[in-house]
Amino acid sequence: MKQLPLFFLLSSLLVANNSQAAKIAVTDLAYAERVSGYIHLVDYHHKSSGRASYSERERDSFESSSASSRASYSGKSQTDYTEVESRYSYIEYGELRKFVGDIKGEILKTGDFKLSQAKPYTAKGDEKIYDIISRIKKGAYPGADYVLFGTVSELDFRDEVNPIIGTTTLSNTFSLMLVAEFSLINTRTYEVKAAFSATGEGQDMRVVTGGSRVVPSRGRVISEVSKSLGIDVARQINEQLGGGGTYENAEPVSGNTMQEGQVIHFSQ
Amino acid sequence: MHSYKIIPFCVALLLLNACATHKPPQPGSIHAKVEQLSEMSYLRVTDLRAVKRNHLLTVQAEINNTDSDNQQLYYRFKWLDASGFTVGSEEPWKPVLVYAYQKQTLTAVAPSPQVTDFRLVVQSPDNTGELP
Repeated sequence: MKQLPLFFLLSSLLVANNSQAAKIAVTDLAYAERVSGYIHLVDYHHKSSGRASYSERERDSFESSSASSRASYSGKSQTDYTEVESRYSYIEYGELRKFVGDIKGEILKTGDFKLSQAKPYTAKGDEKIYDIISRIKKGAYPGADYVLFGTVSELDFRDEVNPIIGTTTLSNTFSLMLVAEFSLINTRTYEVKAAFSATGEGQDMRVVTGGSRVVPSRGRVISEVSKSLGIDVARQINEQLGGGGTYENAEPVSGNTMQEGQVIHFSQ
Repeated sequence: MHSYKIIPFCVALLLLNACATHKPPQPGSIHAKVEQLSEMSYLRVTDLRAVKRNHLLTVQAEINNTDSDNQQLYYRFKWLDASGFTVGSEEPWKPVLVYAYQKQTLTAVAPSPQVTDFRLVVQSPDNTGELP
């Protein structure tokens, strides 16, 4: 009988603990990109006209004869040439509306946090996109205790074709690597609770023979990038906040145990 | 009476002997990666190494012929993914002539980046014992 109140106390504590789980709002990944352009305009007009006339007169009589001829030519030519050359460059700011779905999913899987939806940044991009305190003050993250603010550091697409040694085939690798920096910011005190950079990688590799053409699956690559980024972010949050050992991906992804270029020598 | 006591002892001895002759191959050893169809008399896999290049597993094996005659070898690779399942269809047997007292190098590249493990299956017409 004495155990019954204890059971209720424990269950109420658990419920309270669950309801007190901190709420995180995950922003879309902010980016700044330099856009450069080059204009070269050539305008060329050429107009020419010409007029030629020729007349000939001949008179012949019993006493005398005369002949005259007349030729004339008049011409006009006009050329207009304009050449304009210009370079322009500006920095475009915005938010990448991709790659955060799996981050949210993995954060939920840690079981330590709840999520709240952030308002997207729709204003015309300028540097204010990085002013996270101003965005918090403007109420872009309603109900959130923390904001996970991410910015894109590098987004690197690669399309490589390499010969496979010892064969006549080629390996066609289409890969994408995304590196983003994250800060977990308290919305009340603006304290940075965790900060790290996370990486998402994805690739689609096909073996091709000379002359054949393959089209890489971009969707598969994007999906892999998103998933691996989500796992890396949740793992680092779990690590820096000292979360419990309940998160299944707490260890770095081992994936394929063999690293690129590493030689394994089998003993006798 | 004595014969009843000896029988379990003999059985234990036989079991011990069986264990001694059929030791499981050590992980990371050549024997763990090479499957021989019966025992080869003159050919030995003396060196085996693997490397990952361009995301593809590349394997190199060295076959040593200890005989004074040329020896015929047939080999093929079995490619396995991280779960131990075979990747791709079964390879055809490839013939290699290993000259007397010489070493022959075999090189193969995995057909897919999913491949993480392999087995080298070898057989020679001069195998000892019965073919399975």
